Amino acid sequence: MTSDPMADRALSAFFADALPPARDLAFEARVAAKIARRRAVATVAALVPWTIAASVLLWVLGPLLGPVVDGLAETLAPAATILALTALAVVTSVAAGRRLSPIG
Amino acid sequence: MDVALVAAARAGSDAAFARLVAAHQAPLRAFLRRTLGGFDLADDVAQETFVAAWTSLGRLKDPARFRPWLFGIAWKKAQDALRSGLRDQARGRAWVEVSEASAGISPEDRMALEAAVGDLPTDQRACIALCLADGFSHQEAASILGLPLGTVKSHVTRGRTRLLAALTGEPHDV
Repeated sequence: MTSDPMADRALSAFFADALPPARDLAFEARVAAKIARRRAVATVAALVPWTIAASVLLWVLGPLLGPVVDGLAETLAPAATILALTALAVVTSVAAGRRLSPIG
Repeated sequence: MDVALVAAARAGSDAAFARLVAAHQAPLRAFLRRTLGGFDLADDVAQETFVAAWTSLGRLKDPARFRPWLFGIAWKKAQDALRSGLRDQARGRAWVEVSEASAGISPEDRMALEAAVGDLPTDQRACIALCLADGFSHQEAASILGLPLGTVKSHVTRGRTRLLAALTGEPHDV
């Protein structure tokens, strides 16, 4: 078939009609929301086996550790709480910072 | 550019993956629109494609080939969508969602092309979309679509002939 410049131009224009805008913030936001949802589900799913293992471990060790824990609880509870909350804040900040930090 | 962003995204950067989405959303959605026809369906499949890419980014062997890899995922998703009963829905809406006529084509030519593209087999439509509209090489299209190189070349030649025949009113032999 011989090439017809007008037909080629019409074909190019037809193809160009399907091209979305170079930036589409609504589309990008929908993708980001779906990824955030996927990550949340994956995070919960990943924590389930650890939660079960920790529960079983505590159930097994409970009778052994009970007397010791009772003795230490009054002394160490405030410090342990502060340390746990600090560790949680640090881990959360680092994770969020890594995900949300701008690219140079 | 893609290599650095893929590395950052693999390390957990949402900002890097957002940049990848921003850079590739337009050509990817255009490919799916040309292949599937329905714009809404194509955009849904494009979103699923990006989520799948985010999930399996660690399995990308060559970060420099992010774009063909992404289009390969999109092609598999498009085939799934067509197989899962959305085909009739997509074909029903095919090529009628262009809201504004561009300056380079008359309404008659547009209707003729819409009908011709709608009649092309899906593989042929995908080859046309990749090679004629998106500028992929035949080799890249073969890799993306999982087709032999000769088949891609044949699809592009025959598809282009059919579309041009639709414009000129000439009969075609395919």
